[in-house]
Amino acid sequence: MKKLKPDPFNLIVTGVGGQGNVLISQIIGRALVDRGFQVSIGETFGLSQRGGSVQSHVRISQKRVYGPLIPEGQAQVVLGLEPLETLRILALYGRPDLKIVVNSRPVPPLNVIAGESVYPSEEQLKSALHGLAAKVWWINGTAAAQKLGAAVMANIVLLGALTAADLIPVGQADLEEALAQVLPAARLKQNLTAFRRGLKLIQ
Amino acid sequence: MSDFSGGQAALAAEVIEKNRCAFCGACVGHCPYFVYHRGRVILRDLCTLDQGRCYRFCPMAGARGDFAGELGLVRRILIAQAVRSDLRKKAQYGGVVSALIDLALSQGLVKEAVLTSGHPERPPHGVRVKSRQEVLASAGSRYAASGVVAALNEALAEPEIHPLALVGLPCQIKAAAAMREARAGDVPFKPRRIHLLVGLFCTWALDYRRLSTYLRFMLFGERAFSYDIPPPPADVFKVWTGDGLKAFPLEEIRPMRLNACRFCDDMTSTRADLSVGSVEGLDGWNTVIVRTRLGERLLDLALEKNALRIGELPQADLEHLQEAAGLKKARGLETWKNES
Amino acid sequence: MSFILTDQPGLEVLLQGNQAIARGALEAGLAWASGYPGNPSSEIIETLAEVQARGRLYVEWSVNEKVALEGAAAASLSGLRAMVTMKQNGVNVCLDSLTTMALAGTKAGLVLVSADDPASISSSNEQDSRFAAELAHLPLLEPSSPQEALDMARFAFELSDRLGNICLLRSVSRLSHSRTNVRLGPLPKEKPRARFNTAEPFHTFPVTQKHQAMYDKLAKAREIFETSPFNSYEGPQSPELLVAACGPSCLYVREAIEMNGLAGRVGLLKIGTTYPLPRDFVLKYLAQAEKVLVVEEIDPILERRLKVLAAEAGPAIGTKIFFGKHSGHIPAVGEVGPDVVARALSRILDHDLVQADADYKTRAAALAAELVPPREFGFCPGCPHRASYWAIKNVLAADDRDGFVAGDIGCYTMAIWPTGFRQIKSVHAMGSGVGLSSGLGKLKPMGLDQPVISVVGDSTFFHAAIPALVNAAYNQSGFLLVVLDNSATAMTGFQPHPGTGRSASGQEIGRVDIESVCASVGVPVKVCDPYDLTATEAAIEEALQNLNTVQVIIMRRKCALVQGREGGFPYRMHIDPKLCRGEACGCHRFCHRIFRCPGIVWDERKGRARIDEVICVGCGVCEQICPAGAIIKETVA
Repeated sequence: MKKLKPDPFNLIVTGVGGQGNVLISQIIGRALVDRGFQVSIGETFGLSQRGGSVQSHVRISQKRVYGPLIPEGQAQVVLGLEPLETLRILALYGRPDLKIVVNSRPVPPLNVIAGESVYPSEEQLKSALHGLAAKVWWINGTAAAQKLGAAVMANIVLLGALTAADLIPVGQADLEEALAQVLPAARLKQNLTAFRRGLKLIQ
Repeated sequence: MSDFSGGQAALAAEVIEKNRCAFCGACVGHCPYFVYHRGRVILRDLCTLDQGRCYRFCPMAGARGDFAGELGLVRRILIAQAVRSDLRKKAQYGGVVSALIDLALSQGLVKEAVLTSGHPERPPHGVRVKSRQEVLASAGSRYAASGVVAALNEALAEPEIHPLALVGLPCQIKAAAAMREARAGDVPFKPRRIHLLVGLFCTWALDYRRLSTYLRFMLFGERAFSYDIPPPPADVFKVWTGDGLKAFPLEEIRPMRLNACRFCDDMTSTRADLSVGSVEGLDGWNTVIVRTRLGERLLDLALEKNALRIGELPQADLEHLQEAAGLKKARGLETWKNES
Repeated sequence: MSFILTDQPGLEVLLQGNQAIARGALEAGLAWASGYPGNPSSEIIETLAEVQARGRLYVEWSVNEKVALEGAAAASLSGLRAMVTMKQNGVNVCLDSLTTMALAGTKAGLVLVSADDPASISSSNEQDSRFAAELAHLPLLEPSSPQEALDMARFAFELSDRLGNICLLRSVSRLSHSRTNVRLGPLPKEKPRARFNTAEPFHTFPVTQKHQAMYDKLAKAREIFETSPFNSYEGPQSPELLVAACGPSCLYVREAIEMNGLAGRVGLLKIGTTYPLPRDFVLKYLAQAEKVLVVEEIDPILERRLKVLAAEAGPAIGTKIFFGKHSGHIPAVGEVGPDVVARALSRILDHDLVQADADYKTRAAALAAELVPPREFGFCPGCPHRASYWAIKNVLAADDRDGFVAGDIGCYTMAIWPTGFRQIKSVHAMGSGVGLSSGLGKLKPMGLDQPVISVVGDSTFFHAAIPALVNAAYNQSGFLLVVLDNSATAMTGFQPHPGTGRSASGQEIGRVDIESVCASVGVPVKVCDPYDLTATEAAIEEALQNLNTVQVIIMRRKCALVQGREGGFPYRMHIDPKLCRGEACGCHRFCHRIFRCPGIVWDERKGRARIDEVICVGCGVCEQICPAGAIIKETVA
């Protein structure tokens, strides 16, 4: 196994409640454990599920099991299921060499929809994220998922993109195995299609 | 009122929070933010627009309108009564309002009239009528604010084009008159549909909710069929119940008056085409003030079709009317000045 | 799939903390598990419920934590190992039974798992449940990781058996909801037969004698703890600073030391058995350092116990300088984390932290402040509560007597916020809204003429509202009780309750319906569908005109997420841009501004409202609220 750098290696999956954030971190975690890594995943859910911000902190190590919270400024990779939530966490967890894979589709907060706050434009978000990361992959995961028949699978599409961008120490085979282990058999085929679609979205 | 210089916030600050709402219903029906419910107008949700029809047409917002003398514009002033006995029977005094509306409908001057509902037990509200039966059903004074302009707004929101009439108290007529004067391009309804305004004389109106609580208590649950407040020197509030006539000291009823009435300067509905009230000391007749050409035409038509018989208003009555109206105007303007 | 019943000792899998607790209990031969849903504890029962049949145990969602504890006690007294789970508030609910059961003693192992919620991520308070250990004189274990949670859960039963008393296991959200590598142990083959030995009664008399016996049991526990593998020390012989920690804080401390290169100066005293403290073990390490920092979640309980120990042993070990929540080095409120610990270390040792890039932080913070609005919580699209509160709002406004809603605990609590039109004016604990309303309804003679509406969920109704309802009926208190019956305990994850007719493992079982309970109490009940706004408003309006006695309206409509799983909704919504009034006077964006369903969005370019087809579920309620009739509802197959 290649030496993990840095160790612990930290990934944050961020998004809005209901986007399937926890499922993604679970699949990644499963793949990592099966490949012999020491994993610690910290999840925020409960009230935050009702449309609030949700984060999963994934700690990956070859040494030992770390705490479930990533220290400030120590995220190596961010998988953003929603662009606003991605920008939101960077002040606390980001760093100049950060790599980001982000879903382009906004999920406007209720207060934005009601006209009380403003959602930044795509240009503003892209510019902000590019200025705060070493590399950003801007992926239209929701559109791809919609074409496959279910917008709710955008998270799986994004997972595919993350994998193809080679940002985590597990690859396609490991993750497809994990998908098969975690998902019920009836839903596996559809999700594999979504995952592979996501792989293709990375040039 | 009379310009688009404010929205819900201004209305709330100037009228609602100052307890000056007349519950006329002029702000109800343009949008979902105001509702009329059981005698009151409620501001239900927050609208943040700077300008709106609610403020524009509110008779209690903005500057006080001014009118000539105590009675406003008077082309003719006379007494009258309905010829048809069924109209007179149902009516409070001479049945003139019912007769005029009945005539306007049957002669096609208007296709629909907005009146106040007749049932004394249920909360007063605007009703839209097209037939004589319905006119009869609404006959009689309600003495409580009824939000009737909300029903006018409901009619105006429909894609119809036929002309409408409204019978109302001075505040309600003032709102409808402002709506009638709006420029067609400024508003989503057709102002010219408001064709005929028949105003009532009014000294003050009651808050239905407080009145109904009082009556429920005082009548021990007996049903009330109709009310009357006879003119001075009588000092009573009369209620006809299943158990006969009951009279309550007017003093007990006064606290239920709308606070808005303290600011009112208009006793005789000066913005109407015709205004109708009682005749002091003469049962079965109404005082009628004709103000506009349309009012004149309607009166002539009434005589031609034998809907009304008329007479001369005695000089003493005219002087008393002017005095009472003058007092109300002065008091209203004074209160407005002092409490603004 | 799930590893919960995998019989492969030594297998390493990814387990959530709650799952690990469930697994540890199963490895100890668990025969009974009961609890009440409460974040962050709910997954323990859910995990066990899934394997109830194969695992040969009984799993129950009880109506409340008190009954859940009593059920677990029944199993224990009958010779079966039992576990009861709850969140911190649940400990409050079962306290009366807990203290007396502790006094009476147990037979087979009985473990109470309480999962606290530091920073109140999903609670109505931030409370430390560990006070129960000292109050009830019970041993307390605090795991730091899912692996330890498994091992401690297993050990807790052995300990409970040996002592003849309940053992407390305290988790926190960062433990319960974290997933790590966990090594499984063996599963037992046999389970004993249930039998209550009538020659061995369990009661609390004579009380003082039994009270003394509890102290004896604690002394025995302390002896066992002295050599427990759950307590350990790592670091230099005589550290400049000794950090005593329990729970996941141990992991944060370890990481903070490592990240800041302080391994030579700071030692970590990891304590897993936090009550009673292993005195000799602790004093051995306290003696080696002058400065002690104590790191724990929520209250400075370990801190105080260590201070007492240190004071008592003062002559032997010397004076200590303590740092922790009392000194402000660890904040008194909110949760602990690696950065909280690092900042404390830095302050105490006057050591510069390994800083995150300050310039990056400033830039990122500035961009976030400029571009990133907050994200308010809201009811899901299609949520019946939105419709219920809409009706309540409209009726209370039109009623114009300054009426208000006393709220309770559940998804519907969110009506303190704009998503529920800020209708709720009070929230405390499970069922307390009804008791409060019962009181408010008696204040009319004292001048309170405002109508009061008490809102509870169906699960809350069974948990704690019934006594208050009986009280209201008996004392003739006048208010409207609205039961939002969405057939689920939704906020915590759709667990069943007595009204749903299904058990924890999904089987059809007895059903207690709310109407019958109300009818038997003698209060008038009405049922309506909150999706039908007109009918619902009429029902509330009618009730408000007759508030001399308590009345009940059940607003019955399944949770939107449950409806979604059960086949979805029959409508497709769209907005006719020709009819939509948009921002103009007459509407001013009424649908998404006021009604505030996330399925309705504003199209800036067109100046019209629009249905977001990804978010809208097609419940059809919004069709009723548009003043222009522009929201069109189309029935789809």
